[in-house]
Amino acid sequence: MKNFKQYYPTTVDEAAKYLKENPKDTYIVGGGTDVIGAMKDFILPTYPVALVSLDKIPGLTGIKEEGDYLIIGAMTKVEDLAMSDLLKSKYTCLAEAASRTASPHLRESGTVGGNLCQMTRCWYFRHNNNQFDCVRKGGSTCYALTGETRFHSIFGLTKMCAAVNPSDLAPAMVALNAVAVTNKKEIPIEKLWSFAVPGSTTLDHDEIITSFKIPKFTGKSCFYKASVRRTIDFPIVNGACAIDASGNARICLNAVAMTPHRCTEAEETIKGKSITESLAAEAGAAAVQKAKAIPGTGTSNEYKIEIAKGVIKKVILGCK
Amino acid sequence: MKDKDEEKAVLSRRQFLKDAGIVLGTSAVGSAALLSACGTNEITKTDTVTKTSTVTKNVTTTVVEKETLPLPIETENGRLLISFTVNGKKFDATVEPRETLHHLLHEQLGFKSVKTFCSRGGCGSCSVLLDGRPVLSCMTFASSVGGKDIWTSDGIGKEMPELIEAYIDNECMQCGYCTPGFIVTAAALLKRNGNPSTDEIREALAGNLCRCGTYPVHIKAVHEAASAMGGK
Repeated sequence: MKNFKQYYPTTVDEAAKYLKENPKDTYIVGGGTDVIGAMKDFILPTYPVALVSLDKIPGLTGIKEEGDYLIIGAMTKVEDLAMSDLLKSKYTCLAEAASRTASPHLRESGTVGGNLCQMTRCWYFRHNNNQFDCVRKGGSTCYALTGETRFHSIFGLTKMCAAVNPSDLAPAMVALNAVAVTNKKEIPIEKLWSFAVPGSTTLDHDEIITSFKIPKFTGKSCFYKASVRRTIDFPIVNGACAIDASGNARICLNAVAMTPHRCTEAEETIKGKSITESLAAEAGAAAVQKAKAIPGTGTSNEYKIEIAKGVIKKVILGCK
Repeated sequence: MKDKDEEKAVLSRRQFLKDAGIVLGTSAVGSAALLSACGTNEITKTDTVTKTSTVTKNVTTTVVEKETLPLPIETENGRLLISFTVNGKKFDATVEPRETLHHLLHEQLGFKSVKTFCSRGGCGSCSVLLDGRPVLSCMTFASSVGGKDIWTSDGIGKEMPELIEAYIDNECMQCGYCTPGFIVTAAALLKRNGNPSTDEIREALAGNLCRCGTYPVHIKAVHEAASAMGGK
């Protein structure tokens, strides 16, 4: 790694002030598991001049129910979510998603905020030393379109980019209708992601997520991740379904597009009906109606559509 | 001299590993220290920030309202001074902001049991306990560990001889390169859960890769260590 400046603020305001005063090439670090890898491989569009670590700011961790909400601090370690009895019993899909994220070691240092704001794993974007000048790095070509697309988007391109969002916590957060609380405003979770580089989020440069608010949930929820290996792997497709006490469902797929993909068609299909295997399969088919494979010149990602169908079926049946 | 060499030659692999496990520790501290380090997931909130006040001469320390972790102190050339404990022994070190914890432990302080392998957080060879959490030292900035308690497999070998014995008895290593990482992860598991099930062990060790494929024996060894330690 090249050298840079490391800044340890003790309050969120201090961190935001520093980011505002140094708008160029300053990056936020939570647990560091994404940014350290990115810096070792030299894949950031511009190399950081300074890193602002949120490590020493008190009050950004913890999982607690407060009033009508479950509050999760943005710097809470992912493993704490996986271990939490409260999440396991009431917010099952979030605990399951956390327990399937990366490897146990990475979960111990990776944070919730960092997991949701991580950069894409597209292998052209991640190629060492910025070898591919892709759209996300300011170029004009998406190399995946004429290359290997086996893990790429099945729900179209975003600004000519075929990459997908790799987060495991994202679909669970969307299914539970979370809200990201930043130092400036509250963002409904579905509006958190965009094409922006780095981080893939709509956050301003000096905007820092402090916590996530999830409305108290009393229904059933389920998460499923299809991946090549069980641990230390990113999803081929993952998804979560949450059906609340009054029977309203929220279903979300991830790793299928640049942003987590809410499956309203599947939600409509199961609305007000008792869940059966055939209904779940029907919902799965409805969810991928608009899906379209990118052929590429190597392996096509057509198989992902079938997997997405299966994931939807599994998560709906998991809420039975 | 010749005798000594001969002695060395006949030293069995088993004995060598036993010794390595027991002798490598750098300092003697009670098991209680490791227990307390591993038992809680809380951040230690003992030290406080002392903001250096350049304005006033008569006031040396500012009133600190919130308890926070100690911050690194910037020294010359942008290096950061941090103090922390490794295997119960206190260390002060200056690090560059770009240095990882792995670099600090392996290169600067000479803890060679913290292995270099993938350097990308994929293999678990560089695992250490950081305030009781098994983390990858290659994916942790050295400057962030100020005030924290670090345990490497050297220290763990000394504090948990039952685990080392179980690893030797089950021949858990072939080339042995991944073993320190496994020891750290297994120790973290045993400190949290005195009597883990096979599934729990598999899940806990899932982040450690072994090229020789010794996975099945690790599960046996951790079971044995757990019963030898009496589920404490």
